[in-house]
Amino acid sequence: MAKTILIALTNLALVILVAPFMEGVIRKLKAVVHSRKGPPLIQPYLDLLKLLGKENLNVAGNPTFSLGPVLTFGSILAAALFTPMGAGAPLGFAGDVIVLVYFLVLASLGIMLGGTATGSPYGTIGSAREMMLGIVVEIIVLTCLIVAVIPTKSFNLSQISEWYHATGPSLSMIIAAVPFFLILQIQLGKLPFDIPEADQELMGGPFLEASGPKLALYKWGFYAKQIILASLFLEVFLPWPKTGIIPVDILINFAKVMVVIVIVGVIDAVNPRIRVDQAVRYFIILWAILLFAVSFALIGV
Amino acid sequence: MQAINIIIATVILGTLLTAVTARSRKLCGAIGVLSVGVISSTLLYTAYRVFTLGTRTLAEPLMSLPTIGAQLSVSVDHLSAIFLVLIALVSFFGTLYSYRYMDIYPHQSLVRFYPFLILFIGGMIGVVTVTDMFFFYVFWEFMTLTSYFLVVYEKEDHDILQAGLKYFVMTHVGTAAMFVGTILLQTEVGSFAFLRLRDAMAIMMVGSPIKLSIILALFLLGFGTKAGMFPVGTWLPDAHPAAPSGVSAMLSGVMIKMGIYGFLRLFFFLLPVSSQTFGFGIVIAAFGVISLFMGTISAVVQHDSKRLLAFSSIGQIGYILLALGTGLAFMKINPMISAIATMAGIYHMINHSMFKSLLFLTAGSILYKTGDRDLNKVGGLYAALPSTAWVTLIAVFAIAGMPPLNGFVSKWLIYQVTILGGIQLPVFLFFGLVAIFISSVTLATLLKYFSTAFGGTMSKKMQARIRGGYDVPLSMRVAQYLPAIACVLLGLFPWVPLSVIAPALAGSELGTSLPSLATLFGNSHYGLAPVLNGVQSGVWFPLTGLLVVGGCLLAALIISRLGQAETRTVPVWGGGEVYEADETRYRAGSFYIPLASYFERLVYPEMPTHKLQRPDRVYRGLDFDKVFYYPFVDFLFYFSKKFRLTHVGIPQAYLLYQVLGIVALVIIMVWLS
Repeated sequence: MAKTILIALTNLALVILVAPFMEGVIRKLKAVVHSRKGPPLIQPYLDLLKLLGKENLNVAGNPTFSLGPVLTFGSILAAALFTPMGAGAPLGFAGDVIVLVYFLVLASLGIMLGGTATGSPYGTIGSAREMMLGIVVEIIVLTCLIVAVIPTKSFNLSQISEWYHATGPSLSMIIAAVPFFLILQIQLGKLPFDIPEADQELMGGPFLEASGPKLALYKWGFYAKQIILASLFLEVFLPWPKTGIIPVDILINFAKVMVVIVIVGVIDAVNPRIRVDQAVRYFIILWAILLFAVSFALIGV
Repeated sequence: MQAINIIIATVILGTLLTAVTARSRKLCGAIGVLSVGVISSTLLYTAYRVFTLGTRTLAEPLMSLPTIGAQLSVSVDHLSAIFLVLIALVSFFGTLYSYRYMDIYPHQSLVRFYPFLILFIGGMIGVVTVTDMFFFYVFWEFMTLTSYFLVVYEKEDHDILQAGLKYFVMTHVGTAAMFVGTILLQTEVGSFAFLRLRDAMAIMMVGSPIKLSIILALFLLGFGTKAGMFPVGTWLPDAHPAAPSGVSAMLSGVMIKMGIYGFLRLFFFLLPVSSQTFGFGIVIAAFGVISLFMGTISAVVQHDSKRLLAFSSIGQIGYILLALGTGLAFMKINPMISAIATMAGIYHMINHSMFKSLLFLTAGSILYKTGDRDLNKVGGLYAALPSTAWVTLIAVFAIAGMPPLNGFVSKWLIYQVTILGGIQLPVFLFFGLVAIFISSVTLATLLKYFSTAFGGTMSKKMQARIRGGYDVPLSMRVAQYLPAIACVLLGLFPWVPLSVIAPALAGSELGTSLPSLATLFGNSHYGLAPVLNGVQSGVWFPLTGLLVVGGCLLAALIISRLGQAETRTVPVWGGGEVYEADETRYRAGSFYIPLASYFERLVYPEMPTHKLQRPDRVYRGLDFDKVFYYPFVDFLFYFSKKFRLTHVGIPQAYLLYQVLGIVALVIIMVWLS
């Protein structure tokens, strides 16, 4: 019990306190790629602090607008408790991987509700795009995970991770890892898939009307999501190495998450944005490829 | 059994009294609500007795037709009791809602509403309680006829009459198919009783399996038409919007579930386990997947609120059929998967009753308040309908399967059984993947419904047009709160519905091999941990989930208040200009066009598009309206027209017909003897 609570607190500390630092690293990296100097590493903390104190503009008089950011950040925190970050999911006894994925969907639902509540055309278009991408993303995430579910016969993350850790790499899992990795970009709102926010055309899309604390929660949610998704990816598709000593495992996982996020950041820095229909087509093809991984998993390779 | 006397008396009295008092709208409505209240509470009491004491059967049949081997005997087992609960609840919500809702039809007489409504409820009760196929058919027809009159309530509107005709013809073709199947079975044993039909099927299974398959296919057609299975159930999107909203809620909430009841009774209770169960399991699951895909993909591009919800009903019926089909197919191979799949199907049916009737009621509230049900024309209704907006949000979360609400639990179980069943039969894996995909399309559909109706600000034109007063009247609001509460409770305590469903399956073909609930879902009564293939396949504790989400939301709220930021109300930013809300609104018709264009030629009947449409043989073949319904109706009209020519109005001609008829009869009798 005490161990579970400690792990839960570690997870929360990672996604609340350490996540903005990761964002700082990405910003610095992006600046280096663009031959700029870039902001200091602690800039995201300063942004959040400042935003929390800034004026909170209430736009439509529609409470779902205020519900949006709270729902987003809250369900991301909940998702963090169902995610293994090196030491097993603290609430793994209460919910499996489908629960985790649906909490992440709930988080983007919060963004969409907030975006449409104001009636701003930019926000509504952004939300509709977010939803369209969400449709293709959710099925790909779950199909990737199902490739791991087939041999373990269980949706429990700890069992999936233990199985893969014990048996070593298999063809189907390697194929499934690629789409999952490519999905990270879209889930984290990074180029070439930052279509819902599309700063140059929609001026932030669903976040356009959000100001002050609302924007802070949205931003913070995104930083936290990076760690959750990267951890999920690593736990399922790259569970090595594991020492069995919990603090060491958490540190190893953190280092791996850092590497994943840096790669995501580099892809973000060097790509242009693509159109929403191109993105949908891209992911439909990706899903077709994933069906091969599923068939390989069914025959046990 | 006193309950049946009360119900029969209330149905008759209620029908007569509402018909007599129809001129005084208030009194008529009050009598209607009161009668349905009495019927509902009697039904709930009966169901409670069945849940605690087991099957209740009426000692002797109410009516007997020995010449054809039919008996009107009434028996309520656990399965019927579940349906009785649904009928009781949804009928009550619908009627209570209609009490004030009927104000929007000031020029229509209530004599065409409440009497038929009460008879309709009586018909549904009959369908789920009789134990004889003949009287099942009688009540089935009774239900269809009375609901037809409710669908065409606004009889001046041409479109509504068209929709009613479509409903009438399509369901009757289905019923006819079902009746042919019944007769074929009856000739085998000379009785219509369910138990004897079961023997008939067992005999045929050995003697003439092909004939049995044809009979089952006929039943599939009949029940599928009623249930709204694609492609034969396409009367839904026309008939549901035509009916008054309280009735739409009942049509979608319980009447289409009668088709599901038929499926359950026939395939799970009457058909002995055999290769037929396996084959039909896969067929039903496949039809389920087609329904859920086509229904939801069509729903996502609709902009008429009730049409959107009706298409979504086709989709959700697809989930139920998928689960039931999985249950049938795995009955022999893997009893654990079979049991959980069947329970998940029934569970999803209960859930769908609650959230879909709620959604239709909210669509009704929009119609009541604004006089419009086109999502392109409304917007910013939060200001006018705040409490309706919140219950809609609950229903949207529930139908989209957001934890910890009810839709999540049943869908989660359906994913588990299809994906893990897919290890044995890979086709179910594919079905499960489609179901997961469509789940997010459902979210998209309902998000569009919510955000176009309630998001944004109201235009001045709309402000001038809406009915005054806070939200909708209290009785309508209460009718909306109750199913919303049910959605939450069914999600938080999944053990309760499951422990009601499990004994219902004990009498079915699963019964002998049905594992106990503790083996299926783990020992804790606060959550579900299904065990399939010997491994714990997943786990969900809704109360823990609620606690975690609640705590995290609270944390988020506290964090957002940390900076003590000031709040100020401002207009929407429109690039520096101030626009009237209607000028810049992103309308329902524009949502998801890039995504939907991938399914362009699958969307039923067609979607708005800027591209030239190419004819597609496959798609046209799938459109049963074009290849089946319209030619059939055309033929019917043509035939009637020609037939009318024989009525010349000259007495001598009719005498001639009589003589010719007698001659024909004599010839037939001579030939027969």
